[in-house]
Amino acid sequence: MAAIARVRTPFWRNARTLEILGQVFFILVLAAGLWGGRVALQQSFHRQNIRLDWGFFRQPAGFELTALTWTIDLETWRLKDYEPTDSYAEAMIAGLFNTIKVALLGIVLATILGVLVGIARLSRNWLVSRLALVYVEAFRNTPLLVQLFFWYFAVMLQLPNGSPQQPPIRFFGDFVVLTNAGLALGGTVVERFGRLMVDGGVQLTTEFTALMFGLATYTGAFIAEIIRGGILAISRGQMEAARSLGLSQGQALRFIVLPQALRIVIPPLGNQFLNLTKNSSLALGIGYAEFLTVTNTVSSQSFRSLEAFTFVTVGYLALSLIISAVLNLIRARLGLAAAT
Amino acid sequence: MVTRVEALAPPQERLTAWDWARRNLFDGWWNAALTVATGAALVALAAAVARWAGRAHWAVITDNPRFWLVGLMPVELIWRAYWAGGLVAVAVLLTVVGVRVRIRPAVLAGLWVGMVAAVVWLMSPIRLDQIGGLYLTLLLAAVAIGLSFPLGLLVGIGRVSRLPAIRWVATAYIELIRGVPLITVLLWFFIFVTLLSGGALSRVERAMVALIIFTSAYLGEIVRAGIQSVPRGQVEAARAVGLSGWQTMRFIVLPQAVKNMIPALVGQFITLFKDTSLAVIIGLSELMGTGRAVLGITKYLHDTREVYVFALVVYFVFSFTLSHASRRLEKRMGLGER
Repeated sequence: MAAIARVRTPFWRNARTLEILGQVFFILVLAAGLWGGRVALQQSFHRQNIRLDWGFFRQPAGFELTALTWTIDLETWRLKDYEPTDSYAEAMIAGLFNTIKVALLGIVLATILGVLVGIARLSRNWLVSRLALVYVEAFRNTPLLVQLFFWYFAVMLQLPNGSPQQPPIRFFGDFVVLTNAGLALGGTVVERFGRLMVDGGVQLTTEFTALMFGLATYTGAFIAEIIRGGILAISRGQMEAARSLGLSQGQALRFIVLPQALRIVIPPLGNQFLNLTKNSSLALGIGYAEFLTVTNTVSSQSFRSLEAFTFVTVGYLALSLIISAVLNLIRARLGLAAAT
Repeated sequence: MVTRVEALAPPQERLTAWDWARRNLFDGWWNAALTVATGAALVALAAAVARWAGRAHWAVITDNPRFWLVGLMPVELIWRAYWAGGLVAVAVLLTVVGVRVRIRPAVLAGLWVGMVAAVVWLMSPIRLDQIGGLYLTLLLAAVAIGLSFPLGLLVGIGRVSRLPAIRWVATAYIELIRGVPLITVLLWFFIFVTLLSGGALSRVERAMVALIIFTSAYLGEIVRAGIQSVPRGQVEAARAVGLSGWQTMRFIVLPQAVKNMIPALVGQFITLFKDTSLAVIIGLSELMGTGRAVLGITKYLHDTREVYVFALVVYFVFSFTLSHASRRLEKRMGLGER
C-alpha cells in the first residue's frame, strides 16, 4: 500500500494565510486612501490659509430663531429659552429640540392618518378604497421636498392675511384659525393694527404647520400601505371565524385582526418613524428653524462650514442610532425579530 | 415525467351596473351613507380643482417649454441633447422587445455599450452645468442609478463576506450613510470638495457623486437581504460540486438573489429619482430648480401654484410609470411566489 505523500501546503498558498494577508492589504489600502485624503485636505487648507477651529461653537450666535424654543444652557446644563446672545452650540441644540418637536407631532399625525387610510384601502366600499388608493399613490410617487414647497409656498403663504379684505379661515367657531401667519388652536380672535389676529391658545408658525402637515401626509401614505399589508397578512380565516362567532365587522377588526396585525406592523412602522425624523431635515428648503436649518445659518455666519456640517452629520447619526436602539428595545419586549 | 397542469381561472360573474353598484357602493345603510358622503366631498373637491385649473395662468409653463425641458442649454447644441435622449429611448425599447424574444444577453450588452458611447460622443460639446430642467433630473437619476448599482453590489457582497475586516468596513459604511439624511450627505460632500480643491468637480458632478455614495449604501443592504434569501443549501451544493467561492457567488447565488431583489431595487431607484429634487438645495437647476428660477421672473411671480402643481405632476408621471412597470414585471416573473 503506497502511502499518500503528505504535501504540506506552502504558507503562501495556505487559504488562511491568504485570507489574513488579503484583509491586511485591504485595510492598508483603505488607510492609505484616508491618509491621502487627510494630507490633501491639510495641503489645501494650508494653501487657502484656513484652519479648522472647533472652538467657534462657543461664540455668541446673535441671530433670532423664527420659533421661540428651548435650548440647554451649556454652563449650568439646564433647560432655558433660546436667546440671540447664546452661543452657536446652544442655537444648534435649540434646532435639535425643534427637530424632535416636529418629528413627534408628525409621527402622531402620520400614524393616525396612516391607520385610517390603511383601513379605508381595505373597505368593501369601492369609492372609499379607490380614494385611499389614489391618496397613497399620489403622495408616494412625488418627492417630499416638492410637496413641502407646495404646502409652504403654494398653500400656506397664499392663505388670507387676516385683514378685513381677507378674513382668516375659521373652523369650529374660533377654535381653529388659519392665516398666512400660521395655525392657531383654541385662541380668541382679536383685532389689532387693522388685522384679525389670535390671542392665546396654541400658535404654530407657517413653516412649522407646512412642515408638520407635509411630513404627516407623506409618511401617512407609507404607513397606510404597511397597515394594509399587516391586516392582509392575518389570514381571512381569522376574520371569518370571528364573524361566524357573532362578532360584528368592527368588533372582529378591533379584537381579532388588529391585535395580531400590530405585531407584524411594528418593525416597518418603526422604520417609517425613523424616516420621518430624518426627512424633517428637508425643512431647510422652507426655513423652519430645525437642526439642519440652524446649522446652515451658523455655517454661513461663522464661515465654519466643514465643522458645522460635520457636527450636524454626527448629530443626525446619533439621533438615528438612539431611535433605532429604542425601536429594537420595543421589538425585543414584544418578542419580535429585530428588523434591519 | 413532468405534466403541465393548466390552472383554470375562476368563473367570471357578469354583473349589471346596477348589481355592481348595489354590491360595492350601497351594501347596507352604513356603506350607502359612506358612499354619499365621500362622493359629495369628492365632487366638491373636483369642482374646486377644475375651477382653479380653468383660471390658472398656465402660460408660465407653455410660454417656455424648452426652458422646462433642457434649461439654459445653448440653442445650437440642443439637437444633440434631443438625439441622445432619443437614442436612450430606442435602447430601452429594444431591450424590452429583446428580453421578450429572449435575445442573447451579449447582444443587449453590446447594444448598451454602443448606445452609451454614442451618447457620450453626442453630449461631449455640452458642459454639464449647461444642462437644466427635466433633462438634468433624468440625467442625474440615470447616472446615479447606473453607477450606484455596481458599487452597491460590491458593498452588499462585502457585507456578507466571511472576512471580518471587509464585513466591518461594509457594515460601517452602510450604517453611517443610512443613519443620516441625504441632504446632509449632499451638503457635507459639497463643502468637502470645495475645501479640498476649489473647482475639482462641477456642481452637477458633486450632486451625482453624493447621490451615488448615498444610494450605494441602501443598495448594499438590499443586496445583502437578496443574498441571504438564497437557501444555504445552494451555496453548499455549489461548493461540493467544486466551484470556488467567487464562482459560487457569480453563477449560483447572485442570479437567484438578483431575481429576489428586483422589487426592492426598483423601489430604491424610484426613491433616487424623487431624491434628485434635493439637488435644488445646492443650487442645481434640475426640474425643481427650473421651477424656482421661473418663479423669480417678475411676470410669473404669483404663479406659485401652477409651477409646483406642474412639477408634482411631472414627478408623479415618471415614478408612477416606473412602479407600474415594475409591478407588471414582478407578475410576469412570478416573483413573491414560492
